[in-house]
Amino acid sequence: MRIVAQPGASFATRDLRARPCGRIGGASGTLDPARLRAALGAGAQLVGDAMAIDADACRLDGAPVDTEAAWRAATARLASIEGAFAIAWRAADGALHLARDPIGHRSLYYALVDGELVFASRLRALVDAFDLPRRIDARSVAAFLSYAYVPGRRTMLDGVFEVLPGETLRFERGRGLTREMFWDLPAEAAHDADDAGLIAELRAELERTIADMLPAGEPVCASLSGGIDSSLVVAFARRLHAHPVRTFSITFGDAHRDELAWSSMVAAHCGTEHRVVELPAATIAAHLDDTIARMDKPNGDPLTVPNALLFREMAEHGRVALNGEGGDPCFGGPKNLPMLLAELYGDGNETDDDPRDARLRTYLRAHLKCFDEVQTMLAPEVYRAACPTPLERDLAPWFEDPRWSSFLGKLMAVNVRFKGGHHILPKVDALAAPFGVLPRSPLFAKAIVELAFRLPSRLKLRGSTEKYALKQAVADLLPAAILERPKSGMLVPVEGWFQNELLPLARERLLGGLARHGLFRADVLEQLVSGKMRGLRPRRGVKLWLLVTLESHLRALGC
Amino acid sequence: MKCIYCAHDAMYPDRAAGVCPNCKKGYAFEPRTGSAYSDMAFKSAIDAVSANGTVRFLPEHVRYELARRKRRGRGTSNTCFTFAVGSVALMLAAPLAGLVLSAVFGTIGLLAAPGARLKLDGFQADWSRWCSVHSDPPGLIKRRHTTKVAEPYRGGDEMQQYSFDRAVICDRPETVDLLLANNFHFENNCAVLSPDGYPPRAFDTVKAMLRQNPKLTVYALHDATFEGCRLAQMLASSPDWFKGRARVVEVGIRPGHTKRLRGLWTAPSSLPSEFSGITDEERKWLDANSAELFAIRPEQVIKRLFKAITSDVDALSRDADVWTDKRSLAVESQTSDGGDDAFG
Repeated sequence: MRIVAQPGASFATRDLRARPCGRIGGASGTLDPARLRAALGAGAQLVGDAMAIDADACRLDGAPVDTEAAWRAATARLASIEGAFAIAWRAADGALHLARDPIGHRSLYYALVDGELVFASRLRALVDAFDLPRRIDARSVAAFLSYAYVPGRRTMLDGVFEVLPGETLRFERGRGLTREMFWDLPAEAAHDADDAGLIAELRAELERTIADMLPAGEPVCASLSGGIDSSLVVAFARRLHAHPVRTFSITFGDAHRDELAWSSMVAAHCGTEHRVVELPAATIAAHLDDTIARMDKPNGDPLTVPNALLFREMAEHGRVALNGEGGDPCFGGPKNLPMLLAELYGDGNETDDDPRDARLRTYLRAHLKCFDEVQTMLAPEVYRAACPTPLERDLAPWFEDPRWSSFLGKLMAVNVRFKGGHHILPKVDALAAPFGVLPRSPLFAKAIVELAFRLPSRLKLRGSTEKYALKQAVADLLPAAILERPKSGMLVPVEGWFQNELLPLARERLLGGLARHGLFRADVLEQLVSGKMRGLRPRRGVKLWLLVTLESHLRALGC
Repeated sequence: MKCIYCAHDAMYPDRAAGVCPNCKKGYAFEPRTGSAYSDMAFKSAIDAVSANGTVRFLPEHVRYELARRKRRGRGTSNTCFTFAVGSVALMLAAPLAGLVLSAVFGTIGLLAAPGARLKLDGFQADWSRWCSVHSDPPGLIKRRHTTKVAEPYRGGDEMQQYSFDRAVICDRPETVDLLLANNFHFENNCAVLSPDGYPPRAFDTVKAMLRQNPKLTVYALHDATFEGCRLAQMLASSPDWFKGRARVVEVGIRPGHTKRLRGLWTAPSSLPSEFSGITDEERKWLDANSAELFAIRPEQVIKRLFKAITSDVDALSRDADVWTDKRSLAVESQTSDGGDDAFG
């Protein structure tokens, strides 16, 4: 079945109560609860005597953690909890605690105001409820241009921070704020394990994890691109679930390349109720601001609006939506090979600096955004404020950490933490929420991530075969063509959009909106809009999308 | 003459001291005292090969760009010749007018007679002069590997587990540098080597990684020289390279492609010990000439190469061990290597 998505009601008007629990917030000192509740939306929970819990599909020792009593007991064993959670509670000594799940399925933001800790699971709600200053953090702008998201503790606002995945914050009057990792990425295991045994273990763990994520007694939705990751999730769901499995794929219209042949093949093979959602450029444009306003940190991934519109469709058919996110970072996805090439050859910069810096630059360059153009795009004074030290130096600890000895292990660690906890998982959570849909990402489950770190590199990338162990583990579940197909990625036609339908939007947002912040050089914005760009890889559409997104995000924050 | 910094147009007496009277920046060249070009003309050539600073390049590319511009100027000689012939014909009908026209165009044509060979003497001195006055231009590739011995890559043990599905093998290190400096390897998931062991840091590791891949496709990129034209055949037939291990695709310049490069040809390369992979017709041309990849702007080389490596098998023809990309590298390509954002 093919559905053409039309512009609809604003996402902000959607009823959030379809979720079993809403967002959370609170303060160590006094606060205006009505104001914070209003800012957080329906179903909000404020920490007080009771815990504030934003959680989904959490288990401890195999048993559900779904009551406050269970959560109270579980706070001493946070590292053992499987599932998505952001929680806050007051300990017996009065100290306020915040915690975020190990991988980053849920988010929490905080700031210190007049010596008190204030927090919320939505950044915009935090800023609105506590009148926080809206000062733009220049380094976050530079990071956004390079990554298309803002990794780590920083947010786009100076003085407002994100709780890291796997971290607890403890705030006590007089003693201030302390942070502690209750869970951290595991070290790379010794690589002498039996390959067949590890693949069998992976198969069993995938089956157990996906079974735990299926909603009891109701249909389940799943996004399906036709790549190995989403396909295997669908295949397991179909085998393990007694109720309908409803799959959804997207296309941008017949004029654009898509993966429908692959996704349809998987849907037919598995026997799902399959729907194709066509997303015209006009619908994308109509919901751009809506979508960006849902996200707490800016996200320049052009799939954000398509993701949101897909959740809108899914909401009509189910409450839980599975996805295949996590397969690339955890199991040796397609960005590893170019990184290996750059590791061998250097990054084309002939200066005699430390080759480790070349590796860091390459990692940023691999995002295919604007890393090499940050200096030329930003206004000189903004660049000076943003980059007193090179942006790539922030990555150095990840590549120097002795826990990961192989190059692939280092890449996996930084990808799981950055792309998982600061990009992909917050995105799907934020975009599913307005529709009452619970997104579940089994390949980013803690147990799967932990197992992935135990797999030797040769089981991730074997020769030029990516995700070798994952493919072996599900070889009997999927057509051979799916296992053998090269990774293509979902092509979002941003180049075409900005030459046609979305060009007026870009002109308005860059020259009229973004320019007033004084962050960028005016001539750069004008050149991008005019389209007069030369070179091998102008990537104008990608850059325009990035900047339109940034403008929309700053607008949503009230900057 | 215009200053490249402030665009001030100064008459000769005002610039005789070698500096712009407006901004006081120096000139590298002075046509009035024998320089072959003005600073602005030289800069224009650099801008052309670097696509206005967006593509990395080597000095040789500038040399060929200047020659190409000179050749374009000489294009008038062909036109003049045509006009001269026409004028002779006209002379029969209107003797005086025809005589004058014939003499004018004929003289211009003879003074700028078309030649097949690249002629640009003194470029190295001009280049050094430019760099000393204006400093190295942005985007210039500095060939560090030729000046010091690189240590082999140390993570070889782990790397041996992996491989790449594509490789470009170039007949000379300078072409390897061109591709690496423009991040061709990184953007296109493609190894790059030259058979003489370049680049030394990665050569052994990458070659071993490639040789274990049964799905490998190798692209031979080369000059129109004896050795260059033998490259694809050598890669496909040598047990030390990819005999029976890979599809080898010819994407370099062959004599049949050189017509568009006329005026930029160079002296013949040295004779090889064998001629396998070279036809008799090609050999005739190679006995008298050669043509270098430098004659094609870097942007075009990379775009064409991108098109070749992303083409399906329909774009290839096969002759024994070697596949050939049917499109000539010397033909301009508008293809960009992607643009849409890929996710998923």
